[in-house]
Amino acid sequence: MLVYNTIFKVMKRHLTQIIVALVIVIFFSTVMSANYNSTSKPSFTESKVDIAVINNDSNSILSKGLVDFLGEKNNIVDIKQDEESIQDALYFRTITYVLTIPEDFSASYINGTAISLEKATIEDSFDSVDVDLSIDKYLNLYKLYMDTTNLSEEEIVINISKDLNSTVAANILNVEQQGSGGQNASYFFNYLNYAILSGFTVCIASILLVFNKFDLKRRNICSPINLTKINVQLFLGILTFGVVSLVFVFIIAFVLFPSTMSSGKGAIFALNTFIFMIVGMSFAFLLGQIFSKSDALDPIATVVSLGTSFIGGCFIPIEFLGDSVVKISKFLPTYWFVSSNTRIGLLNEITFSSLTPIFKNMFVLLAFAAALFAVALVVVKQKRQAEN
Amino acid sequence: MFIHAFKYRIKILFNNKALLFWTLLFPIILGTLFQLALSGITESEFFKVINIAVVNNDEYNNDLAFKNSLASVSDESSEDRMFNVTLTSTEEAVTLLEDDKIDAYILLNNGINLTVKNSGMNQTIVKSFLDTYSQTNSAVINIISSNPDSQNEIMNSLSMSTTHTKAKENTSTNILLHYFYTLIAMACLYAANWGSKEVCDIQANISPTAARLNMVPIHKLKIFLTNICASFCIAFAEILIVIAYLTFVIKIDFGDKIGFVILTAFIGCIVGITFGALISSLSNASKEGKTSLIMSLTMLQCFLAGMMIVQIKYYIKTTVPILSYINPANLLTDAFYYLYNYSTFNAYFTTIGILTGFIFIFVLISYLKLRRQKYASL
Amino acid sequence: MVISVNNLVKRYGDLVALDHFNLEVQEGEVLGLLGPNGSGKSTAINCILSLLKYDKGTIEIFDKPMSPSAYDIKKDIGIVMQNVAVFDELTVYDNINYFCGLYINDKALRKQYVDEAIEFVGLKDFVKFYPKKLSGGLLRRLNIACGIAHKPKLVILDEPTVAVDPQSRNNILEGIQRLNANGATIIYTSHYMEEVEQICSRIVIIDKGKQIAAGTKEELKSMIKAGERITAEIFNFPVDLLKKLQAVPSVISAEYDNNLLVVKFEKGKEGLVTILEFLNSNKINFGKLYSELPTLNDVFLEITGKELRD
Repeated sequence: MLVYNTIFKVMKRHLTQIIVALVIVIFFSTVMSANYNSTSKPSFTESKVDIAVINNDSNSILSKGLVDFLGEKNNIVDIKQDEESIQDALYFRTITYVLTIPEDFSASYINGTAISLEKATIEDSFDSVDVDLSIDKYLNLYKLYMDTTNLSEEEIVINISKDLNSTVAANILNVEQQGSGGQNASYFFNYLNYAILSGFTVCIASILLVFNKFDLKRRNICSPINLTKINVQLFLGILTFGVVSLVFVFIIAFVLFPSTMSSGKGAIFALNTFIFMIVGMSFAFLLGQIFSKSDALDPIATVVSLGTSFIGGCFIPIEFLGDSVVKISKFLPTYWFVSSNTRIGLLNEITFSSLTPIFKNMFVLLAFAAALFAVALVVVKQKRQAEN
Repeated sequence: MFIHAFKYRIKILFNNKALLFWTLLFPIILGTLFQLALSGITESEFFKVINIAVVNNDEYNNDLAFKNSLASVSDESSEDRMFNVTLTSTEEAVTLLEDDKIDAYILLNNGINLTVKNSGMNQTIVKSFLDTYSQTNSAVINIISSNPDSQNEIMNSLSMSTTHTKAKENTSTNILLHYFYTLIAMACLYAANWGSKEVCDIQANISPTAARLNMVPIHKLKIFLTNICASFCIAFAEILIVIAYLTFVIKIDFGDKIGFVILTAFIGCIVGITFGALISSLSNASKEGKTSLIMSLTMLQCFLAGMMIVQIKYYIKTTVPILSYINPANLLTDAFYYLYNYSTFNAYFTTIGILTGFIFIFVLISYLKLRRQKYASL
Repeated sequence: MVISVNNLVKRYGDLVALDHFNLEVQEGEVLGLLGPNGSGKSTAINCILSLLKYDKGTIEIFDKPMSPSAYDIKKDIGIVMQNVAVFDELTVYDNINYFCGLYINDKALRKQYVDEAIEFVGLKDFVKFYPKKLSGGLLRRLNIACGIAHKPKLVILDEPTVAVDPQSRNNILEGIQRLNANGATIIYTSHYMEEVEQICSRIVIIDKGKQIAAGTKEELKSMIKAGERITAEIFNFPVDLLKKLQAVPSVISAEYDNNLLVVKFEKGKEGLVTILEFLNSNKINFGKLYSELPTLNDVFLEITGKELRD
């Protein structure tokens, strides 16, 4: 019983930390699901670019037609049109493209003395290439009609909008999807890397730390109380804590992504997370052995949780990381955890062959756990020798 | 008296190796990790050549227009190369797609068919290309049907296709900087640990040395202020080291208003220390509990300021603006951002003004808590 | 009068820690404040020092009312708290110099005082050490040096010998006597009656927040009935003899347990002669036999009905 009481006391002290980690996870995933709700339907959807258009030539039919076309293909976002707001919005990627149509653009375009449209964008980015292509397509088509026919402005615009309907059909391979929104769920689970390493691990390490001291005292002072019994209790207590926290996390996941979580994907997500939690526990065990004071725990945990989240693909998707960074991050369990989550999120069907890479990752994670545990045991041994 | 107490306080704080180590080394380690993680991020937004497959059948081989069009954007020597095209059979194409070797395959079977595995940017570009082809095709057919003699004109017009947009200058979109702004904000707020220590070391009910200091024939707040000054000097020196490290080693460009950058760090340090004093004087937790609380609150502030995901900051600014004004980490980040990106100082000084307001509030509340000189229990 | 405390009342919630506590300390005396753990000694000290709020009563030090801002009083007080109150981040010398510097502005004088304090507690060989490297006894000495370096007129020591080895304890006790010899008034709290008996010129016994007795140790001992206590090692002491012994007029009590016969006699009676004659006449053989004079513990026991060290 003493063990349980101690565990609760220590947990209480780290309650804020756990809550903050959870708030971050929930907040993040909520924002994510709000933003990306449309991306993973079982049919092909084109990526839409968030753009802003400042149309100073709004009376012309050409400009209007262009803006309408851009609006169909992309999300036109309303922003304040002063320079600083545009700067802010571009900087934070709320929009990635700001198009300014000069006052007499269409008149001069029709005359052949073309003046350029002004854009502010993230240079050489996908988004800017995509929008540039759309604009060029529209204006080139307009020019084609202008050069070869005698149609009026209105007629050309109407013709173009007809032509633009001629799009290519896109099929999705293996349309049968195991629950939609899998990608959002994988973001959610990726984010658990931070939560597990910053909240959960610190909590467990502190429990162990308190207990190491306590246990030592007990051995020094008094009676031959069965050490194995204590350790078993301790282990069970920690496991209970871990499982209870995971259950809590899964409940949140279920509320946020009901269809994904109730499908087979949910179970694989859960398994993956559970295995990662074991890695977290081994890490906590190591921390608990290395440090004799708790004041180093918080900073270490912050460095590890933030650091691995950044270079392990949790805050910044793996494909955005440089090649050398990815090489480094392969030495972190986070990479394998995140990589599995991403795969699970993208699973179209659950078969042995589609799960093989995920199981491989899980195996790597277990190896990490074993390695951390082994290091911890070595530390214990050396510490004992140092004490004697 | 002041100099004596100050000198020794510096000595005491400086010998507190653990705290010194963490408040200084922490931002430096994280800064290095950030640089490592973020060095690839801006390039990753850049366009890369997309791998696609085309099913090599009769319809494809007969459609010269499509063949040429595709060839023009997949020419290896061209700078505008978009695609790396592989000619395959249908089965092969499916396998390639399943194994993620290609992003899409094109099958010409009574028209153009595109098959992809997921929706994404690359897939969108492929589709966009195909759409353009088919839309231009539609326009050409439309024109020829009404004016059969216009073929040359069409060819001319199509070959004259140009780009119509020009980038505006002076837009800074280097989002990388933002991470380092939040990092400095975090480093400033870490000074809260010093502030908290000062509060603990002056409250007789928390530490025995404080009880002794309470018996000294000097006003308690005088000692406290002296100690806080010492703490500030150390914290500010640490921030300067962090900024120097970021500037000279990581090579982050904080712009040319370096004086104001330092002023911001100065204010940030005071905010951090007073914030720590506030939390420490309000919380009844143990020393470790207070540290834990301060760390968590700092992390939360940094998260809301966009340290982990930049967009969070903007999301909050546009949906819950009040939250971005009561978050010191966010205000500090803003201050750095304004310095770098805005030509005017209005927004900057407003932010600094709000931060100064926070300092006053923090100091006032801490004062009300600390001025009590007798304790209910020790 | 150095300290005068009148009707001091301090409550922690429902618990009354000080119940109309009175205390007077004369200049030049070593006053021992004796009481079991939890009797209110430290609470009394902390109230006197204005560290703790109290509910009722007046406190004067050097004939002036004490308050947190009574800096002219504080400058003449030196405190040595129960908990070691030194900075781990400063060396022995720096610790003493730091605290002394908050009292003494003059640099030369301060240096002299600090050196004297180091000499006084015998930490000369350890001036460069950090507190963590010091043994428990040395740490306590440092704690004392920090409290007395500025040569206060009044030194208050709150259990300075808790968890200290006998050698260091003697060193500390001698030091306190020397301080007193140099003119300082001392208040010394402890629950070790031997210490208090050894060094204090006057003793105040406190229990449950009340002063229950005060005086020199002789005065205190004369307050009680008990005189000599005689212990004899005897095998198989018959019960009827014990009853007979208990009936002897000068005997207060007689107990036999664990082969030991303990007999308490009234003050001034010839206990040793009485018991020897009694044993002889009853032909009882005995091993060890020794006589003790009453201690403060007996005083405490008689007044409160319980042992001092519970």
